[in-house]
Amino acid sequence: MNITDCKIKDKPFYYNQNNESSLYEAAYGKKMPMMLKGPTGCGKSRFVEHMAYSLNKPLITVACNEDMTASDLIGRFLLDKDGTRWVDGPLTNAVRYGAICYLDEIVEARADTTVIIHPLTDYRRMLPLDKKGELIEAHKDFQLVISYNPGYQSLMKDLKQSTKQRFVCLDFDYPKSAIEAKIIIKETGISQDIADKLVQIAAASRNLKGHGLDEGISTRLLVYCATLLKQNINPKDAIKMSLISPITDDKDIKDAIEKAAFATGLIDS
Amino acid sequence: MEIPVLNCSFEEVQNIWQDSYANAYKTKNLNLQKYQQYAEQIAAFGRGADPVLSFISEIPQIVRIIGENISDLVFNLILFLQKSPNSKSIALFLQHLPAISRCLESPLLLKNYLKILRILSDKTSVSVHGIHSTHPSVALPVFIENSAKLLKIVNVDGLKKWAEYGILYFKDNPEHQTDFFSLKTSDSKSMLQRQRAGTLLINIENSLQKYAKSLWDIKLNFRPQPVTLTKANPAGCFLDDGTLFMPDSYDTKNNISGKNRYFAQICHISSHIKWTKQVVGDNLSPMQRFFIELFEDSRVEYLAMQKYPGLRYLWQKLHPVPIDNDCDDKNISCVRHRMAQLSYKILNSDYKCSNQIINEYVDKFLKMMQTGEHSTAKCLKIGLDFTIKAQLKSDSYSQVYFKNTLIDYRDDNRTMWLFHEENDEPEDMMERKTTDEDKKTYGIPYLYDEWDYIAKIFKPDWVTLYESKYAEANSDKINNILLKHKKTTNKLKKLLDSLKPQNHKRLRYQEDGTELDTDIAIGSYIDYKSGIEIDNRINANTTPYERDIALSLLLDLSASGNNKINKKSSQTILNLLQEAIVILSWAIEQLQDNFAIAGFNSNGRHFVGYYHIKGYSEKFDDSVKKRLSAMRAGLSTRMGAAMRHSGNILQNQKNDKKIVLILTDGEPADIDVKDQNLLIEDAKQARIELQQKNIFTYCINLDKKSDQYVKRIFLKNYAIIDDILTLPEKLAQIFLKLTK
Repeated sequence: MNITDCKIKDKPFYYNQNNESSLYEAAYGKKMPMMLKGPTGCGKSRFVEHMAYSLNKPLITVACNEDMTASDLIGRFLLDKDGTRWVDGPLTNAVRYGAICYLDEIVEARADTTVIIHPLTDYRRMLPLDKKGELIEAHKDFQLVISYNPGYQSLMKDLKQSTKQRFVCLDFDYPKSAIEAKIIIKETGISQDIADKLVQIAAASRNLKGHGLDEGISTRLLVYCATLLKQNINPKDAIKMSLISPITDDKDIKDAIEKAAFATGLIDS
Repeated sequence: MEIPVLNCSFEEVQNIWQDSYANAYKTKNLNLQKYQQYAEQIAAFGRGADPVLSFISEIPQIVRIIGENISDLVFNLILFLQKSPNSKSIALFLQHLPAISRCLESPLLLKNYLKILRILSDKTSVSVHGIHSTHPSVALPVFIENSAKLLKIVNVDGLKKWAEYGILYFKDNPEHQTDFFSLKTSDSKSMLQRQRAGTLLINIENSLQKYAKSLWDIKLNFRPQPVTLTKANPAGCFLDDGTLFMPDSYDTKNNISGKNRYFAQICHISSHIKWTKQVVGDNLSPMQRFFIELFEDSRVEYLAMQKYPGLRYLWQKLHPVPIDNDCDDKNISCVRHRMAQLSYKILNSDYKCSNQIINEYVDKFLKMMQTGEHSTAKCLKIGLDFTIKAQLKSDSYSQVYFKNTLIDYRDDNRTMWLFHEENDEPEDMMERKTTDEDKKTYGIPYLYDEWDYIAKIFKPDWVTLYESKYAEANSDKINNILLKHKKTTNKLKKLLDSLKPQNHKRLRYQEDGTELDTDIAIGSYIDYKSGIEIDNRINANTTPYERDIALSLLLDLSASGNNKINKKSSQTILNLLQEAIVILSWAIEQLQDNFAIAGFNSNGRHFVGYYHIKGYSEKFDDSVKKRLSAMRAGLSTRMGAAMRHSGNILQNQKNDKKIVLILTDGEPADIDVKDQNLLIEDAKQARIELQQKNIFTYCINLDKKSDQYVKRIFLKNYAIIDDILTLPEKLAQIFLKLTK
């Protein structure tokens, strides 16, 4: 495979909340495995893209799910009409050719999947391919990044300490209001006024976390909403479609977010 | 006009007949012939002059109010009362009828009201030996006297429902009837409150809490201001000790729905909580405080509108619009008018006000806000200045201008002031405050409805449940139990082990697995033969189900727990219960399920005790053992309220499966309930409510003869333990089997 295909072509927009970029660079310098913690839609994936771009390294992203097995990461023998052939998985590719491998929502993957990354994330930096009988030493540019949302998963799904303690960690949260508004404006070209109001609605929803809401409105949803508004969709519909319905079915919570939208002046009562 | 001769021997009546007839003559829609005829008939009742006096003087007035000839209607009721034991109430009825008619204003509504009187007269007259009604109703006169006031609170339909409720529950108890119909008891008040028209606070409390939390990040409790006969429609709201007291219902006003009016109120109060700092009010006159409060109200609203501009629309709509120059400041006090103008001008810059001092201070205020240098203390200063500057001689006059000056979405600002000398305690609006002393003795009170299976309604706030922690005693006794039951625990251990690996979930599409998934394997083979890229995830695997259970163990601690288990033994049922719980707790700890233990008993509807023995977050440690060891039995078994409470606590647990396990040795019963079916049916209703909340209930009963009622309450979900000595072993076994 041509690993340079995996480089990010266009500069992704990312707004530094703190000094996370320089911290990441320092960790990357020593190829330390990195864990990104934070609520859904707060910009973790965007941050990795941003870093891959600014470091000029290829990025391989794998979205983890509960049906994912170790083979989906490291590769497998496939049968074809001529017999069998080995196909590298995304992780193997990253290890072999020196990319940043980003395992998004690692907790969703089954426990046996997380174990295979252990030899890669300590001093050994090795990936054993048991089935193929190969032991790959990681490329000097290879780095493993995982993302992890401590909020909504059940206790049963938490990462094991033995896994957690192999990573350095950056904590993410929703950006501060002013920055979040800037992000929305940059992404969608919406006016400052509307962006501010959207951020306020999000803040109101985040107050309800733990009061019947698992997670407040994410920056990503705000961007969706602004995109809809930009297309002259009626604000009431846009808010319902992008901010309320995706996050809750609870009548009272829907009502409260709608009231927040009304209070900001974005919609009529 | 010729005045006919009235055939009546009472002198008092003859004295006023001429005037009354003249009055009646002038009344449209009044049939004069019948007027006279009815008067003569009433005079012949033999009840003295009072009824006929009332009749001839009140009827013309009532006809004028209602606008139609209702004398037939009224006379029919009088006739009805005359034949009943309640004939004494006729005069009273006629005296109050004009005021009542003023609240009704339509013949249909009046007709409906008279129907209520008939029902009430019928049902509340006491019959001795069941032969016929002989004793007059106690409720009827009270009801008639209060009707006009009640009709200002609810409409006729609501009044009817409320009266029917009172009849149903107190028909055999004249003393309670008086209390109920004069609105003295809390259940009478809450029942009346539920009959109110408009948006009821109790129906939207949850939404309101979410508003406060989401927009302001404030946790507020709400309580409706109690309805009383003297204060039918309490306006406005106030904050007291973290609880917001609000009107119990709101109608739409200026196109703003009742719910939005509550919302406007919450936003105003929340702004205060966010931005108001207390100031000392000792040396200020009421008038000074009045204006200072106004500036502070405007300040916090200004800040709120900066954050949420949409609120301006809402507040402007709800703010009264004072008419400029409408108050004659030479002759009446214009303080309220001035206040309303100032406040509205700040809120709405388009408003034209010709009072220059007001305009000057609005500018001053806005300038202060724009510079960002503002505070409650600054409002105190500007308020004082304004009071002096705008003061007029007429301010102290007794006649006050009130029109369009009541801003009912704002609170009374009592939390803004700090008084060093506490002589002016604000009026206590709560019916009865729970003192800290109360909480210590009884615990925290909760009110629960109770189901009445005959009337098919919930009796609101009928039962008071007190939640408290159990006292502690020496835990040695509990520690010895596990040693004593070594055999049982060993036996259970086998069962526990068998619980873990059983019940598997099949995972398909596995690359590696314990068995071949034939369907997929064949599919893949076909793909292989056809030369298509194949899926080699042809195996299946199994994984055990994860246990995710929360259990609430609810113990009946009524007096029967003190019974000996048999004649020979000195052990009581309670001792055995303790043993059973220890073993169960041990088993549950092994499985790491989330569980709580609580006991309950009752002493009439005003006291249901709910005792925490172990909370969900607690380990089964020494302090739990101490509480368990202190367990005592006494009083009765009001099961429904305890089940509801246990369900409410359990509902907050995050586990997948939720179980309430009830351990009892007798049927639901209480000292103030004669019909035992009532509490059985209420418990059944509670079980249904829990079911709706996805909570599974199961009952373990030690009463051998309990088949009938246990089945009624819990359907199939119960077990009766005949040999009580096996309880310790059986209890754990049953639980384990339930969760297998």
